[in-house]
Amino acid sequence: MNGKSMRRAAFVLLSACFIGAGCVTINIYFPAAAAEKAADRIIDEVWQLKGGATVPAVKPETK
Amino acid sequence: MCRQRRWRGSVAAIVALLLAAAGYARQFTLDIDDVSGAGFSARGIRAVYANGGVGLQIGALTLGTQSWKNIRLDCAALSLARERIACDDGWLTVADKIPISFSYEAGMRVLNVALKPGKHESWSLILQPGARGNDLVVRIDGGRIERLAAWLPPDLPKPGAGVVNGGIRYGSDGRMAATLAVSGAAFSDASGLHAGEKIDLSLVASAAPAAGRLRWAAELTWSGGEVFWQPVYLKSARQQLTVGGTLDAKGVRIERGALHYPDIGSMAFSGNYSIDTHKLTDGNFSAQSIPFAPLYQTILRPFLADSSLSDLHTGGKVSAVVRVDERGLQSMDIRLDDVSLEDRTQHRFALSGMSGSVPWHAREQTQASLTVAGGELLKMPLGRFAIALGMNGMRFELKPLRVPLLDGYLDVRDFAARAGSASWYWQFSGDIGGISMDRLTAALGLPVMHGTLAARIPLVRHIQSSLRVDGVMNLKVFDGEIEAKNLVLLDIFGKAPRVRADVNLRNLDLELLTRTYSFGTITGRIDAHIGGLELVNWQPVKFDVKLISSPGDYPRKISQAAVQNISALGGAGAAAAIQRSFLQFFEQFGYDKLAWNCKLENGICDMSGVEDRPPGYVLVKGGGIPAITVIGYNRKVDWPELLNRIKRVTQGNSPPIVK
Amino acid sequence: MMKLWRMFETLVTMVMMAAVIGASPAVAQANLEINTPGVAALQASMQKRHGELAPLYASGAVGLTRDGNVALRDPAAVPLAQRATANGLVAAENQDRAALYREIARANNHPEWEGDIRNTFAQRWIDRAQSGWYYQSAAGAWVRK
Repeated sequence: MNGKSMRRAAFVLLSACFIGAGCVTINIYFPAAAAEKAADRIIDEVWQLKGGATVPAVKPETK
Repeated sequence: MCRQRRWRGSVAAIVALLLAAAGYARQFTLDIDDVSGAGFSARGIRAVYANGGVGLQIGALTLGTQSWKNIRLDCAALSLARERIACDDGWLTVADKIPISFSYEAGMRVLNVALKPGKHESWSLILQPGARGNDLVVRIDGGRIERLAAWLPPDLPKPGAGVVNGGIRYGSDGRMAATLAVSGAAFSDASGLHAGEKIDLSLVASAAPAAGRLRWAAELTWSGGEVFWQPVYLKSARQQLTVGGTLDAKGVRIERGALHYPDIGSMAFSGNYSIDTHKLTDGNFSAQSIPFAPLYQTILRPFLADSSLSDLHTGGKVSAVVRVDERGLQSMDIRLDDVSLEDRTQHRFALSGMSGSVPWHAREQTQASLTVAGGELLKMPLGRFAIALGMNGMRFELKPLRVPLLDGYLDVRDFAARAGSASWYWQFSGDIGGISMDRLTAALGLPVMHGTLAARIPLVRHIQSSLRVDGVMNLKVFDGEIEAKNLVLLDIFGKAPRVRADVNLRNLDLELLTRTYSFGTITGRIDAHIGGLELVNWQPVKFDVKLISSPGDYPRKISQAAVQNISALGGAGAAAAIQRSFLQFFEQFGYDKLAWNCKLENGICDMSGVEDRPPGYVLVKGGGIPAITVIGYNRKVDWPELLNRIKRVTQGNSPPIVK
Repeated sequence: MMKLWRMFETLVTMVMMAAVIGASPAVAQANLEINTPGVAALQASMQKRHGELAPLYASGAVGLTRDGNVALRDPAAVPLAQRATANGLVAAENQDRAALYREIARANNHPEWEGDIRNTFAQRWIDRAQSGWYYQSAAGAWVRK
């Protein structure tokens, strides 16, 4: 009886953990560095900045 | 009125006092707090006479909607004689200091005022006795247009460079005549989207009182320069506007108006403009037999930028009669005469020989009828057809329509369109039938396919840049059937249209299909289910395809070339369970079942076949004599890479890869 | 009945543990997916337009806005006859840019990232602009780079 309710509690706890973890890791986190990398790749293509001769070095981000 | 008379009296008194005082005193000062009249008021007036010079100061002056502060008139040497009062070099200070001269001939009662605000610039005003009072003549020489900026309504573009020359005469009998020439004028608003440069205009206008109204006429000719009025750009070509009508307290009436636009044609118009409501209460516009090509190029095209009508070859003539009242556009009766449209760069469509009438009315049910002599749709020729379009305000309904397409037809049914608040809603359903695949594929520049094409198009609805298909779209091709369900097209006219659908293929004749592409021949039939198909920019990004031999009894043969090509699809890592010697002896092999499953996600195709045969899976399961079994070993393949392989193989140029 | 419930519990627990363990590292090292046909189509369209936009950036007629768009900041720098074209280029570019930000967010299964992606791009367009081009500062003023 006791074991069963413990197991059930663990199940509930784990569910909460999963839901909580799911929220935190998936919904709020925005990969800023990856987005910058992606933006730079697209900007390279659109503006034809191959080689980066005229491109200033990437500024360190404060984010 | 009473007030006005009072200040007139007082001014006369002031002048008399001033003159009298000048006789006796060396110095004299006069202060007036407030003077006002119809449309004007002046406050804080001070006149000073000292040492033969005169100074007049006005603290604040309001004239119409304009007001100025601290205006000064200084005349160092005022010559005062019995017959003539004159100031040859005075200064008028209104923000800037402007040289002014004036004279009054007492005997002839002529007042002459000249302002010379700039070099080679003079604005002069002559007031002299006429038939029933005073005649006013204004002469402008080299008048800079920018001086008018303050007088214009603030929402109009501001004038910049340019000068005006000419004269305006306003007679005591109420007759008015003006001849003005503007040259090198420029104007622009802050956004630069309404601007003109180097504009030369000439205006001849006249007016005369008639039965309590003013009868007027004007002719405006645009002889130089260019104008950009978002989105239209116009160059001068001696466009001419001739207008005549009447004016009274209630409004402006245009009895006859004509706009002549060289190379396009003429438009006649008339109407009433209410001064109270600032609205066109009744306007009629009519243009007959206007050549469509220059009309499209100059006027219509800028409005159609970014649409599929933005770059057309056009021809024919159009006529239009348009009626407007205070509620807006009331009716538009358009007639087309042998009009043609052709998508110039992308060749998506062409319509030729369009004739007929479109009698649109805002509040009445009418019907447009047009005949189209022919055309092209996606390079497929269209035959002659007639359009009967029911119109009721902004609702349109098309009578069932059959358009001859290649050797078959396209039927359009249930077409209805209406204007929503932000965009158009439209829908239709239809059928395509009797089109031979040979001709269709030739017209589309595809590899030649055989058989006939028939398709049923269920109700397609266009809602806010997406197309939704209710029901099942059905295509009969390759002697089988293709069905598309849950079809949604998003952002359909955008750069990256998205399509979602579930597609079923039933009983397709593989021989018809494979003969098309130089794939080698496979005889037999297939079924396929493509679930969760998602295309972006018409390329698949996600699907789950299950392709398998159709059930039933039919010959199942696969040619040597096809076997080699299927093997080639496996790429370098794949191996076919076939022997070179075996292949050399037979042109054709029998098979029992073929299957190909591919689940595409994130650019990776996860493949399987008829059944697993570790470490591979069976793509073609042998049967009959001689039998052949093809086994694939690569389960995960990069989708773009697979596409490249299929392209190489179907182009038939690649040497057969048999190891 | 009890057995069924226990089996269900175990199963769900296992799946969830797997999800928690499996999901975290995958998300943490996320790389944004930009190799989609949608992104490719928009990128190609913008690249083609850049040939016409580049002289407008150089003349200062068009500048980069702080919100990841472009704007006709000095129409007077464009002759009247080309002003409609310039205006059209700006409108089309902004349409493509909006679609690009949306498409990247969608391709990564996070439509709600669209705003963040736009902000990231806004900064990078400006950081990588050529000297002489105009951009909008955070306060909204036009600055020549």
